[in-house]
Amino acid sequence: MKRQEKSGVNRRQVLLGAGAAALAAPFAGRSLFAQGNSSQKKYIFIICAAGGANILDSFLAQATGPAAFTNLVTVNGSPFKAAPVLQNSIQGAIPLGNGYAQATFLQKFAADTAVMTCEVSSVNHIIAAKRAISGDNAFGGRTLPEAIASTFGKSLPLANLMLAGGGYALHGDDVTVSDAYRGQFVADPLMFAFATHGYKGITGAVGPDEMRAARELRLQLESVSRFQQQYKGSRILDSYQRNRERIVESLEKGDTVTKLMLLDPAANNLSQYGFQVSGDIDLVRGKFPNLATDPYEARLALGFLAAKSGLSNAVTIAPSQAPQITAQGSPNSPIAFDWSHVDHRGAQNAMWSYILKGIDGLIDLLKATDVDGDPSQGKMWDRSMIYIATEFGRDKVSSGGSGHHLNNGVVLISPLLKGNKIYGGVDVNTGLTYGFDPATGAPDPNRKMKEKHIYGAIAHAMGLSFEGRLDYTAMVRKA
Amino acid sequence: MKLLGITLLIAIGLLGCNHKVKKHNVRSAGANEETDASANAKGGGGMNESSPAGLNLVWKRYRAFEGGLVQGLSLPKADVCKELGQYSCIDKIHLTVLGGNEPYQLGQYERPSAPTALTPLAVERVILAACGKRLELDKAAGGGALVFKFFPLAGASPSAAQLKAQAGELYKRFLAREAEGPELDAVAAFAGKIANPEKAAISLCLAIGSSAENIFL
Repeated sequence: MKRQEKSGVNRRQVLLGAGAAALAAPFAGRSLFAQGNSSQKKYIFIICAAGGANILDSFLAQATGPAAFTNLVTVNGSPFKAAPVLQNSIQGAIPLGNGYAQATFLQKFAADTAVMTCEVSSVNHIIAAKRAISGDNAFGGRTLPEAIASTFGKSLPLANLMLAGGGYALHGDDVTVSDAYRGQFVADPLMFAFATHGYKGITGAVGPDEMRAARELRLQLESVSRFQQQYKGSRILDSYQRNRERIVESLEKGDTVTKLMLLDPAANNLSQYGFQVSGDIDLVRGKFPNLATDPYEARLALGFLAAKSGLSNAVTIAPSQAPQITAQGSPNSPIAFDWSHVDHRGAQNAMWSYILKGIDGLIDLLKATDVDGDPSQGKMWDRSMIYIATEFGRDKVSSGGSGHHLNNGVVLISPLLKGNKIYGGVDVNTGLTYGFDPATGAPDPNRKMKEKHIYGAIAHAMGLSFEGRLDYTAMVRKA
Repeated sequence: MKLLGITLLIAIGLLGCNHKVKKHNVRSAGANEETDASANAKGGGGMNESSPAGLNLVWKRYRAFEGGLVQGLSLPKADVCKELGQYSCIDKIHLTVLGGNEPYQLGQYERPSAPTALTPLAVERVILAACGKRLELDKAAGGGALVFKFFPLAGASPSAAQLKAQAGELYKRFLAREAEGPELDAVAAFAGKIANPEKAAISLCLAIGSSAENIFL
């Protein structure tokens, strides 16, 4: 196995970055969106399967052993198995699940899907979630979204868009990461657009000319204030003022507030306040028809639009922890995958369907959309990585409740990977997974893959190098 | 005894010097007098880091920020800012970027440790809405206007002297201190840049209310 010896991006990327910066200099007055270098841009979408998504209840489902299914679905030409859609309920009272079949996902996307086994290092939700995105500090404590945002999302105003919580949303431990690449938190995806414009829609407020004058006056007042003199050089103050100057005008000029507006115009009097719904609303509604009521669908829609609009390239999305109960039942279980404590099979079955159906819609959108609206740059999907992150696995059981278990596997979907392949294997007697040789891909019952290996494989596939990273030649289609 | 007296005098002198360094002006009482930990627990302040001089600079989070507007502009909490006329800016729409967290739907158990990229824009929206509401109330109050009372809100563009007087009022209300000479000079130079007196008043309110000194403690 070859280890990477240099930290950070590789030399080629540094040279490309320097070239891009030089090229961008003459266009310093243009929108920040235009300064982003499309040719280098890559996207990561981290879907947080919070609560412990057990790989034996999805694509590594088994016909024998302690977690056996009786009616597994196979997909032609694929090593993966699909758990059948079960008739689940919440405590026998509320129908549970959206009816989406895992087999449907595999029929569409098996060629780009890889399962990588693992045995992680914590069964604590918060700690394990953070390790799932930081690779247990594989890259000096830089989380995957921070690393991808700072490497492939330079100049994007909201490079690292955070639509998740808990340990998935924590900053990495690398204090050198610029605030510009830290997660930009979104509380309500339907309302997020408002925060991208300083004055639009505020009753009786001022127009662009007055805003410009007021902002200039603010700068003058700050420049002569004793407060500014006293705290000059403070990181938090500098960062705040730099952000203010860096993104305020670019977001307003780019009409981001309209591009990201997901509120139903009829129900919210948008036009009365001068707002318009996103021009892409029908596009995202076609894939996420429940976005007005289901936070997971709304987050997927916003995450996609932010990437499409050139605002973000690292998007982290989690489903709601609350069941979305309608007259038909709930598509998701309470406390997400962690409902497995009460009903392992019902929670896993419903939540895998819930997660995968959303990803199905997201991939369709990415496959249909040009990078930065430029057909010559290819489709967004060609540069995308979807990582279904989870904290840990669950006990290897087929009924009742389950506890947390270190042993598991994760699903990666990307054209950057050699897909339709299981990296590692399962001991059919115990249901425990085992690892593989990163160079050859050969299963190895004596090897366990850790968080740093998941991080490393994703990094390699996306062309990100750092000290200590292994080469995952067997997994990577193109770097 | 003499030695004790000298020691006491030195100690008092040192305390005085320290006080001058920490507080170059008078701030509004309340959240800024709390410790970082207690303020954070109430959604008030939050320790972030120190300036090179070793002085703590604390982000005035959503509740302290809102409190400043309620008190400074004499507005009911419910009137400070509502998006689309119905959704609370501070408790709902901009909660996270103003330093709060949403634990129920999103599982956000921690507040952002520092202002996010969008905090300045959310701050502007909230300040603009609050200033606009105060202006609306002062227009209706006629001679009994509380804040915007230094020039007519209809008619001619305000003079430099009128703007300086208005700025002085806003400095006291937002920052709990007198405006200083260079600041008033900058305000005087602003005269004539916005002809409409209502818009000039709002712009002045935004410039002072969203200045960094009102975002950090």
